[in-house]
Amino acid sequence: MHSQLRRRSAAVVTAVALLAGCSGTAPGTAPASTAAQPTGTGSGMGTVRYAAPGSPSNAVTDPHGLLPGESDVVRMALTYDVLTLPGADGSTQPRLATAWRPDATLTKWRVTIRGDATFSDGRQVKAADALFSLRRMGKKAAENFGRMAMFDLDASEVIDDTTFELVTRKPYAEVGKALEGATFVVPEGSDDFGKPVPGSGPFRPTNKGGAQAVVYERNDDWWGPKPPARTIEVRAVPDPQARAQALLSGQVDLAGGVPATLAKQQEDNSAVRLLRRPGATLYPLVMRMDTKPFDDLRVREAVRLALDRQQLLDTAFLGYGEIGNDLITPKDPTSPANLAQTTRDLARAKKLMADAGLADGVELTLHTTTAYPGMDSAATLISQQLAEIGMRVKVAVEPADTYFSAVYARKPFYLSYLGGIPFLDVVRVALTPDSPTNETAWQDRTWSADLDKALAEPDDAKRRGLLGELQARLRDQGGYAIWALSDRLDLAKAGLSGVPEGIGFASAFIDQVSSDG
Amino acid sequence: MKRANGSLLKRSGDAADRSVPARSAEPDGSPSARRRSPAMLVFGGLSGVVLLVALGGEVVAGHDPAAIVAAPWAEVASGLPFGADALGRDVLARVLAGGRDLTLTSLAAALTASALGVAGGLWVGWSRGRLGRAVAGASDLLLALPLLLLALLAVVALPGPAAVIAGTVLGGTPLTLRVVADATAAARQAGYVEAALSRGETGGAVLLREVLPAHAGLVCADLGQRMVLAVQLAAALNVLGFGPAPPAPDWAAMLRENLQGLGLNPAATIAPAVALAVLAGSVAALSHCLVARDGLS
Amino acid sequence: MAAASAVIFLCTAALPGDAADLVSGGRATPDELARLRAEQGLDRPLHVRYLGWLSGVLTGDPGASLITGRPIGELVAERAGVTLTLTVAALAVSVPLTAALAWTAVRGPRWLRPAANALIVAGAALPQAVVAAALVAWLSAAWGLFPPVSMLPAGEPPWSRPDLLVLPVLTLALPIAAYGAALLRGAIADVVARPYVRDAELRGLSPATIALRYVLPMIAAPATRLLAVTLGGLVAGAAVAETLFGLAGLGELLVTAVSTRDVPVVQSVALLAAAVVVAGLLAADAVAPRARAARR
Repeated sequence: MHSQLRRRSAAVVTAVALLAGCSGTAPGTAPASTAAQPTGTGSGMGTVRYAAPGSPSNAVTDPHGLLPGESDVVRMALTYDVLTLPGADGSTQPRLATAWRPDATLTKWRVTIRGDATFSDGRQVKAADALFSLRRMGKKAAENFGRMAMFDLDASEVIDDTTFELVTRKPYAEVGKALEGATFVVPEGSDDFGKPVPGSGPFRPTNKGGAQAVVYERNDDWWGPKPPARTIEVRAVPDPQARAQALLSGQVDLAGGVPATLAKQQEDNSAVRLLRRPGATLYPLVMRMDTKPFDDLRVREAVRLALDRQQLLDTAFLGYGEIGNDLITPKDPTSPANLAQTTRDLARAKKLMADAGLADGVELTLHTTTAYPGMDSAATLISQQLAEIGMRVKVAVEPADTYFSAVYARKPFYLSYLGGIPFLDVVRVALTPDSPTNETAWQDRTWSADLDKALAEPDDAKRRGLLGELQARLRDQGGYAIWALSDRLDLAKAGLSGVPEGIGFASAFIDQVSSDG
Repeated sequence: MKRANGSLLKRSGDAADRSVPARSAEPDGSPSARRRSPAMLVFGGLSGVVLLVALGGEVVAGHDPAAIVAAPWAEVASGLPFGADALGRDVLARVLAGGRDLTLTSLAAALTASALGVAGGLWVGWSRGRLGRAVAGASDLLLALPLLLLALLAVVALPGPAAVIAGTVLGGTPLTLRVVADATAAARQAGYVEAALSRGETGGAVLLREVLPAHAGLVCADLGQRMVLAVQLAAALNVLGFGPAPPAPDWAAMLRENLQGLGLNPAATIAPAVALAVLAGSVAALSHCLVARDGLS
Repeated sequence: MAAASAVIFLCTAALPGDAADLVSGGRATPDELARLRAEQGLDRPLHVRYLGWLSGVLTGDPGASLITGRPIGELVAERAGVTLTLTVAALAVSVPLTAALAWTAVRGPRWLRPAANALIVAGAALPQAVVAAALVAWLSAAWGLFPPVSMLPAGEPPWSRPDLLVLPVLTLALPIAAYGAALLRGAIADVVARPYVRDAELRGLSPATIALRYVLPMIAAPATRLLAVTLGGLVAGAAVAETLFGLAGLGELLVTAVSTRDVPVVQSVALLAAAVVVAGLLAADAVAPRARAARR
């Protein structure tokens, strides 16, 4: 394969992976960090070694650009403070920002930051630093998928040391959510990240680790709850099998993202603990609505009715997960909870196919890739299941490298990838009429107008209802079939505690891990 | 990268000592050395089989080597003689189909490097003089460069197979050239060449009709060495992820894909490793036997 | 060296597309791309970039990685220890092994010679990854002696956990040893076939005396040169060993940089490797003048 293709697509793969990894909602359980053990003074086990997905030679230093690997996000989250954080229930939790209040128009937001945070060089973290950091993200829109697109940052301004005013382009009630996770605050004026830039986070990077790992030491001046571990080592390991093997041979204490087969094998091993984060990943079946036969709603419905979701879950994810109900962000707190589960109904599906004039079936090609575990076996099984309603589906397994350049948002029928991303992030990336990555060609103008209305609704409960209703409409009318959600699987050595249980961005904040538990 | 050929060291010392072309007289005079040894038949057969499997295996594989047919790392079972790999794909089907591109690339690389080297060697050896020494000096320099490094640089600009060919030509051609040039220079003094020249044949005709056939064994043995080099280069690049894109099966890529699962299904790693080892090893052994037979070493 | 630097630069710089595309994930607008390219200095003419790079290298500042933004000098410095440790250890394993194999093949007990020859031919032919697979299958999966991955402890020298280095070092050393033995075998065979060695044998000198007094001096030059070539092979082979076992060394850095088209990193690491090889060859020539000269 030509290197240019490989290069481009590698970038997009990582970018999308990041996108998926960025920001997310948590399941309805309290994060384990709240139950973390006190600092272990006696055991002398003050170090936690974490093997995270990522590439050691691609460890980036700029917190506002492309963060190619999960290990990069983890490192940034230890070094820098963010403004807000996704909480255990998916709500927005304060971090560096303690309050964010709108004016009556919902276009001007006063953001207050805590006054007791200091950078590692001793300077106080001020509102000017925060606004500078957001503007820097805005300038790097091409590298971070336009994360600040909803803000007019030139019109925003610093009010005083701990307050700044954020101006949004349209009324936008979810500013707290927009500031979640990636808003790493650096000192005003920082632009060269080739050298260490002072951070105000719970840990401080040292240069002790060399190229093998980054060694972090606890920042005892941090304003937040005292981290139990004195030292955290973050190591980027690209191969999931290698991460698991490193844990099993005692070379690390926590291995992020291990394959389900290996996880299954270790279920009875008392020396290690399997950590599951429900709903972390989904592989939506994309049906492009401007392409035959998916331009007919009846065909899309027939596909959703023909899927045997349990069988797919068992095959693709070895049962580690739950079946999907075609909701694109089922773990988002605004996701409607009271909808009836879609179940397999071949009779109705066949009737819909006949109504659509496809009683004799149709030839299709379903694209998939080996880049994500289980995605290709899911495609094979989907093709078998759809054969029962007359769809003759050929599975095309695409190279991981070219998947996101040749398939993603380009082919009419394929398996896509989403990982713990909140609803509004999916909207920004894939559901606005003019987005280049509008993979299902979702062009419903009324829906977009209703979305603007929902975001202009100041009442939380009402807005949640409106957003939920939008997701329900998307589920019924749109071009996605979401058949199952898979757990994120981590392996930890026995006794490790404090691993965050949230998915998406929440999982990157490991400052409360402890190996003493 | 390694280049299995003694010439770098030996020929710097006494390259031109051997004035007798291999096939015109036996150095040790023993007629038994001329016979095809059983070892040669064995390795020749083995090379043939592995080439056949590599090139035609996909046909007998039975089903798509990218298809998921079992649970990940499924162990050896009936219908799955080598079990399944990390994604639950049939290892046997992948081994049968996974040698073609690598072998074709290596063959193309070896033939290119060898052809260029033979042509250049005949020319340089025949014309001798300053040019020959200059070429020999330049090829000495190339020999010292780590080949894999060159191939890695090439892969920035070229697709994997082209980088393998470029690397093999850069690293292999100089060796072939020196070997053939030495033999040609020696042959020029030999009686049969002088006889042909005195019959009024042109230099080119003598080279093609007399000198080249007289050194066929040498050229074949040398081609084998280039093939081994090309296989090593191709395997290294494919292991590093610059080969055919997944899910296309490839012996070398399979090694990397399945190495960490050795504890789960050893066959997934061992089968492609054996295939690669047999390919490189039998060709090397065949070449070695040719060299031994003709007393070239 | 100057030629090598130009070749390396041209090989990697005059290509379609660049890292600006990559950093932006392939979805940037033309304006944004132009800004990124200007930031990376990719908009300057080729010869200006070459001279800039070369002067940077010579003054000890080869620039920064396009992907991570970190200074290349720093990236190289923190990885050099691992690669150096691997290479030195592999050399320490392969040199005695080379000598033993070559000597056995030529002058060892008659019944052992075919076995040594077979080992040399097979070992020199095997791709490195096959050796790695065999080692992991045997020493890790079957016997459980060493882990199949090597996560070196952070903040300690690479040799602090020798057990983690065994498999990568053997992966590196074994094929090189066989290859070296194939070359050395020829050199030894040449020397022992010479009349004065036969004379010595006839005079009844012991094999050890013959080896030390007659053979060793004659093969010293090619052997030294072989050592330099071996060094080059080890430097390149480290890429495979490090990638397979998860070591963050220079080889792994080079491979990642090639796959992400981080051109300045590729250029600098390749130039460093070329410098090591050229320096090794020059040193070999200085220590042991070429055999040709010695014999004439």
